Amino acid sequence: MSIGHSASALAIITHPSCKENSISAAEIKRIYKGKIQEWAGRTVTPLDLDPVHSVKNTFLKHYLNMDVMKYRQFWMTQAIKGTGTAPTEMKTQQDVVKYVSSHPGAIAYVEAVVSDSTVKVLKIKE
Amino acid sequence: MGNREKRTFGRIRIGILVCPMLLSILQSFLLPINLQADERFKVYGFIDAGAGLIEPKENHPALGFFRQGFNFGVEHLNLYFDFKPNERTRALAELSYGDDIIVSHWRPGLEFEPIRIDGIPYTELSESFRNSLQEIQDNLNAQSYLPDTARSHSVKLIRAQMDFRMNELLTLRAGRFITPAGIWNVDHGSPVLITIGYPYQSSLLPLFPLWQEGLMLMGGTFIDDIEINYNLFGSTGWRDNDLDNKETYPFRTIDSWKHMGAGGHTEVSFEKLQGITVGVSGYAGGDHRTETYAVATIDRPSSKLISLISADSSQQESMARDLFTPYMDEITFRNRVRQLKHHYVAGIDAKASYANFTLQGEINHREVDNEMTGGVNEFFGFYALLNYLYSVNNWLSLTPYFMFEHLDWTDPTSDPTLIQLPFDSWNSYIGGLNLCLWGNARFKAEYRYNQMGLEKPVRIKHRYSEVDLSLGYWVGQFSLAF
Repeated sequence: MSIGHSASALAIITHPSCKENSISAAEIKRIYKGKIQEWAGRTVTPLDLDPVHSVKNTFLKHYLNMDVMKYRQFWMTQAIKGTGTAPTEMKTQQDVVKYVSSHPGAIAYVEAVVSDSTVKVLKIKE
Repeated sequence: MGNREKRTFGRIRIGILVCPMLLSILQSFLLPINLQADERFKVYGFIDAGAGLIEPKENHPALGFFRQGFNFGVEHLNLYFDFKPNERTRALAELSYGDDIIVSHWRPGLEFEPIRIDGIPYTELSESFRNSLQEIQDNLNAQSYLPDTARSHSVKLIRAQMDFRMNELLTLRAGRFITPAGIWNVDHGSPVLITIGYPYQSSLLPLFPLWQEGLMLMGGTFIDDIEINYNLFGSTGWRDNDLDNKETYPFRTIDSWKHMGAGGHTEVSFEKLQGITVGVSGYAGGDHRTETYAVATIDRPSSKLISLISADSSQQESMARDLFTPYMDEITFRNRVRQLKHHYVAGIDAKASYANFTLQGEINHREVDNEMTGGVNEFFGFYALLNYLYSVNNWLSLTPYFMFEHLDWTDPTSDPTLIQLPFDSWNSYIGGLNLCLWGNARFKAEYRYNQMGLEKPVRIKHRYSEVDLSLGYWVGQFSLAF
């Protein structure tokens, strides 16, 4: 866990077999709010991090304009409405990378320094 | 089956439902995190408990809708059982234990068929005398329609649905589902709702059916920054299972095919405009029921009958009871087709946020065409909710709010399964504070002020015109999502 990230220190990662090399901020927002379930020709599975990671707050602020509590409330609302349930929270960033590398369709955010060659780092479309 | 056996069976049935739910909750908390990460089966839900203080007002026509005096207790425990066997399929069931007030606006209708009055055959009585008898009968029937309420501890299956997603544009849903109408009916859970009470048009006096059974097509897409979602359904129509299961409920569904309903909801959301969302809802369906009513056959002289005729309406009900009591053996129950009607419901909903302010509202209108009476009831409902979100820190927020709701209807006699209230409009003013902790726990306190109106004449003869029809009270609630 580290403190004080900027958005540029984030990496959006997916399975190496993904045919897309980039993703837009709007698509990230829609995926993490459950607005779209399919991306790059696959059913997409977003992964989240435990709130103890400050990188989570950076990600939510930058891409969803939300803090951790608002994001939690958002998914609680979706669950009660029956629309869906929140992305699975992983305990460590290493767990995230490991999961993404073995699950086609998985997408996640981690600190750029944590990602490795087992996953594809997506460029952010302007 | 006797009443005792039925109560025992009811307890066993509740036990059968509640025990597995409690075990599932316990199990879900005991699951290690690494197992939950891959689990396809999830159990979650919410619980709320409330307290209220209502000063009873003698003879107020709407007191039956509220818990009088001080009260406290668990009001809802909803459990969701969510199963995703694969990426495209999802099964969801929601069970709700509720300590609700069930409003049945009906008691069995009462009619009497006098054969002889003081030894004189009914057909030989003077016309004015028979008219007087007819007036009494009309009044007795009207009295019998005054709302009857009871608290009900029950477990309801709010939904049991299976979704199969073909693609983003098309998901097929089958089973029992919550009617996708407006905002509130879908949100429906206390940890999500800003206020404590529901709008009356989504609870006590629903303009749309709360849930239905049938098939639904749904989906959504984005066009640039505009999100469009839709739901279209065909259903077995508007049913009130709570009431249909009540032994004392005199209306029974017949001709189920005439209940078929159809409707939908479409909403458009503008990402660039602070997420302003506008939706439209619609529903059309039939309703065909029989009514059980009592017939008192009077063929013996009655010394009380003459005085009954001359009594004013406030005395007639009690006197009629005295009159009929000696003849209870002669009261028979008959069924007759009472209602064959069609509902046409349409609504608009909207929600917009700006600088921590959120404004949401719904306008709903229902037309009921009653083929038995030839009458038409126009039922209109509107509410607006304004709230301001003040985030104190990452785990605490305060939300003061104000809500106004208005309901009115034109011809309650044409809509007897919905409403037979001795007033013809209802305004509700709500102000309160919502305190949210960690995103999933809420404390709320609010004051509700209700004002019933009697501007238009209504069929029911009542004695409420001189009563203060306002009603104000405090309520508090704690809710938790888990």
